[in-house]
Amino acid sequence: MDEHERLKQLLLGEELAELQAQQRRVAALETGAAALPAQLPELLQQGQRGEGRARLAQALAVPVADALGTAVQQQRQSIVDALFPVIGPAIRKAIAESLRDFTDTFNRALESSFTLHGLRWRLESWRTGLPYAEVVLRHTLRFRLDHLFLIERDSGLVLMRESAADLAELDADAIAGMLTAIGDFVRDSVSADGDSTLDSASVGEHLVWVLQGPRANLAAFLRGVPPPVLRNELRRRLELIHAELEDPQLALQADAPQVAAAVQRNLRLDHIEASLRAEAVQQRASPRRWPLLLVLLAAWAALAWWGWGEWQWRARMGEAERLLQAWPGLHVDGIAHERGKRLRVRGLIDADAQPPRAALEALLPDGVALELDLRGYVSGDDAVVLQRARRQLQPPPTVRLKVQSGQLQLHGDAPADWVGQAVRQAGWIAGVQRVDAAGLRAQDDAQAPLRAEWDQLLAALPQQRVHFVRDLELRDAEELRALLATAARLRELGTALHRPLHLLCRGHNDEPGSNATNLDLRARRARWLCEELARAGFAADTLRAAPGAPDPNLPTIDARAATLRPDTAAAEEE
Amino acid sequence: MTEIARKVCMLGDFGVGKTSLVARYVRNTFSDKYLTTVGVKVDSRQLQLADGAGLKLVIWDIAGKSVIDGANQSYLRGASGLILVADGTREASLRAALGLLMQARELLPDPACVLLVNKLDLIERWEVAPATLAEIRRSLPVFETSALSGDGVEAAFAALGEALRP
Repeated sequence: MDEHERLKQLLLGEELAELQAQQRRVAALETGAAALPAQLPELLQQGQRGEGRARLAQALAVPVADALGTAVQQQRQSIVDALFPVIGPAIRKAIAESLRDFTDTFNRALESSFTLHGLRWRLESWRTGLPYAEVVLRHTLRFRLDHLFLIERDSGLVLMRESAADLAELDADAIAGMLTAIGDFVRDSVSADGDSTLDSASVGEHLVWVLQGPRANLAAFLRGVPPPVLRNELRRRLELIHAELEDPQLALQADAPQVAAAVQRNLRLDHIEASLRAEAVQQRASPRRWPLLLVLLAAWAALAWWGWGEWQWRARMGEAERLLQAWPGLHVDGIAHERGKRLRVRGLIDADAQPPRAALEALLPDGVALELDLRGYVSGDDAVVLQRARRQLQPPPTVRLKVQSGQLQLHGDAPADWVGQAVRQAGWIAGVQRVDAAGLRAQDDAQAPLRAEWDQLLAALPQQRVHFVRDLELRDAEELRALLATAARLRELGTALHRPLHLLCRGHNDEPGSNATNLDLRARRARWLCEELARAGFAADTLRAAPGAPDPNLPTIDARAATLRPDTAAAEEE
Repeated sequence: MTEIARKVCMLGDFGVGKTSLVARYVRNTFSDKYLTTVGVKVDSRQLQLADGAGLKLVIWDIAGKSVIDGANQSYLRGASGLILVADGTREASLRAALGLLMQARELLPDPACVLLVNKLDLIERWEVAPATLAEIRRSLPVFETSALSGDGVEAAFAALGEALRP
């Protein structure tokens, strides 16, 4: 070792030794690093022993999460395949739990449906229009008011706060500031008019309400399902606070303790809950019954209207039935009706009875269809028998007819011939069982000579002929005058006796000639005679012309004639 | 009655270290992600003033920008104090901070202000000249701070607290 090396050893010996030691350590570390991949599994297993397990998990949490994220991005299918056995049971478990929750809820709803509460909630649901489930939730779920922050509107600083007693301390100023900032952010982002802002936010069961005021906002941090009335109560209290707060910052300074106390009082959680309870009691004590009463009144009115209509209809039907039962000549087999729509009557009616349609239509309201299914029969009702007797006997005005229990009674004075005819005919009238004509008196017969003359002239009339020489040339004009005189006298007698006179003009001829010629000649002679009578003043509608038949027994000259005879067919028609 | 609190907004260009300063000074209640989503993060710090009185600073860390836009105007509303932050290694950030101060003074009536020139731990790379800071100190309290070491941070906030004394 030369001088230089010795000097170097003296000056740097210690550092050189250190350097060599470090070189050996580096070499050892390099050797360890090279062996690390092989030793890593064993080292990880050793690291999990004892307290090292938690430290290892903590140390690996971030890189493992990052690695998993990278794997999801790059090898999605592999991850899905690996998780498939886990995801299936997890989904099934979630569905089973949801079904269990649903079943519990359903069971509770079913149970509540048959309790007094359930019926009351159903009524409330029906009255308010809310779903039944929501009403049940309102009454069964509770809420909790965790914090109330009175926040200055501009700065977001907490002016006053109230928190539930058992909650952990929190940085109210930071929370209020962030809430204000987020409210501003939401307003600037989505609110076009700039006035609207964040009113509420919810995460899970946690809920934040922000009630806006001109100088301060009220933020309520809640859990559960608060009733809507709570928001109203908070709004009311915020208004009361604003009445005290002219300048939010100054008012909370130490020199205004009364203001601070008033504000604090309005934020007291127990006061708010007490107010809610009082309101709930008041609502329970005086529920809004008017909608229910209104509905009941409407139902009662509808029922009354229906009942009144039904009563009226039944009364009318009863009246109609009585009317029909008492209707003479009508036998009712059945009555069917449909309210306000139709009335159907089935039965029998006598030809001489009055039809009941007009009487029924007067009884029924408008729009009701009346159906009469009536068939003919002979009635024995006294009124109908009387009507029938009048029609058949045609009594003079001086005679009164009456039917009682089948007995026909005749009273009054009448011509003797009518009396005789009526007494003979009355026993044959349908429905007449006995005839009482004791009260019928024959009048003095002043017209008897007239009737005798009438009968005589009528009997002789066909024999009175007007003869022709040929065609329509008269053999003796006196025969025509005589015939016209006879006809005129018959007309006078008919008027006096109230007997209509209808005459049939007939023409006759002898045998020679063709049938057609003879028929024409007979017709012309008949018409000629009718024309002569018409000229003599007889009404045309009382005359009828008809060719007569040839009479081989008469001499030729006597057969050429025209004759008259009563037109019995026309008289009967009249 | 709650304690006296003052709203303080922290303004500065992007990357000057505002969030790090706040993190150094306050208890972090909220995540930094609010800065990129909402654009602001709020924390608070209770101060003990020189005379023993208490004062709470509610610090609104507003996302770094060189100008005050519409959203930031909302966040500035009601603020009593401003913390302007500049990066000593970037002179442009100092000009941006002074520009933000001018804009904020148009929105706020008379805010108490402090200027924090950050990254004192990198002083060898500072572009901001001491003469410049001396000139600014004539009108504004200036603190040289390091969010990394915490140097000057407490003093800066304490000075602001004194300025905001009720």
